[in-house]
Amino acid sequence: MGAAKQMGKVSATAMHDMLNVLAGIKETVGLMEDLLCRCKLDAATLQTRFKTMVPAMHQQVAKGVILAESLNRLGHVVADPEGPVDAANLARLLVALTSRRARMRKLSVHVEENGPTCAAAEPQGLLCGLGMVLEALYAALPAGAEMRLGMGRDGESGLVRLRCAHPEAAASLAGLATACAGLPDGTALQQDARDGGWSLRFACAQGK
Amino acid sequence: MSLNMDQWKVLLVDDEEEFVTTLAERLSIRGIQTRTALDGETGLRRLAEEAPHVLLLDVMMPGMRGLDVLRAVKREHPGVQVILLTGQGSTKDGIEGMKEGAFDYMMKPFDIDGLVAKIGEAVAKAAGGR
Repeated sequence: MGAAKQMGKVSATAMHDMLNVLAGIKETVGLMEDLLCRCKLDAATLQTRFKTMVPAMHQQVAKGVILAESLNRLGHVVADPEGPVDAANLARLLVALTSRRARMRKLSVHVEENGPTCAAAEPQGLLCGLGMVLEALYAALPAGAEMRLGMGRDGESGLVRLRCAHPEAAASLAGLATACAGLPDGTALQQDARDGGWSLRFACAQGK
Repeated sequence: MSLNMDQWKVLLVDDEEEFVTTLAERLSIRGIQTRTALDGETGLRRLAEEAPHVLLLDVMMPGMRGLDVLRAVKREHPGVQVILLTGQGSTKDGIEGMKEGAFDYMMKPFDIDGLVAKIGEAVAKAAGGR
């Protein structure tokens, strides 16, 4: 899958989330208007109601800002294919922008904070590869599973380690390699013989 | 049979809690009897307890998907009119839903007056069939 197609899929998912955010804000503003114009409420009651509605709107706006900023930063990765990119940061952007897909399957996905990181030599390859792997994980993992993504190194290669402690995870991910057939050049999915976990291997930028 | 707005019965099923409670209150302010559910399974249970005239149904929810809920409603309660709510930029799910028997679909965010008008048309059809 090309970077443009992957970007299109990620954008569509993120915009679906954004439309829900806007719908939430629109209805809250609409309710404020209804309470002011249609309901004969006294000033104290109005103030009490508005006090609960304003924080809800701030929350919705904050969600929208995260989506917009993440999409903007991911857009720069696609627009600037030459520059190396922090793999952990790219993973965080992809996870944030596809969080709706995870929620649909009742999954939680986290990228480890403060772990080791490395710069991907070919950001578009990592974007497409990790996008494909996340999509396959969302489809395969059992509901309620928690997936953790951590960065690692193996010589000149970088690794995105995928770990899930759910008891049914191993069986659910038995077909992961098949589901991820056609990963972009420079990336490869491998299973760790020690703990059965999966890793996505990618080329690191020299010295990064 | 024409019903007054305060006789309209609506069930709203959507997983976005804030959106559900707010829209339900706005419909209630307009006199429309509105019940809510936050997932498809609960929605079907509420519908079995008391059938509404109109089901407002989100297409994309965790667990049972909107189109699966629609099929179950059309099988068990064919007189209930379903208006699909979608945040998808694409109209694909809405059109697919209408092929499966949905009355219509609306894309979020929508205008409340447009929604109330659409509910009115759906209620007229539901009441005519009862």
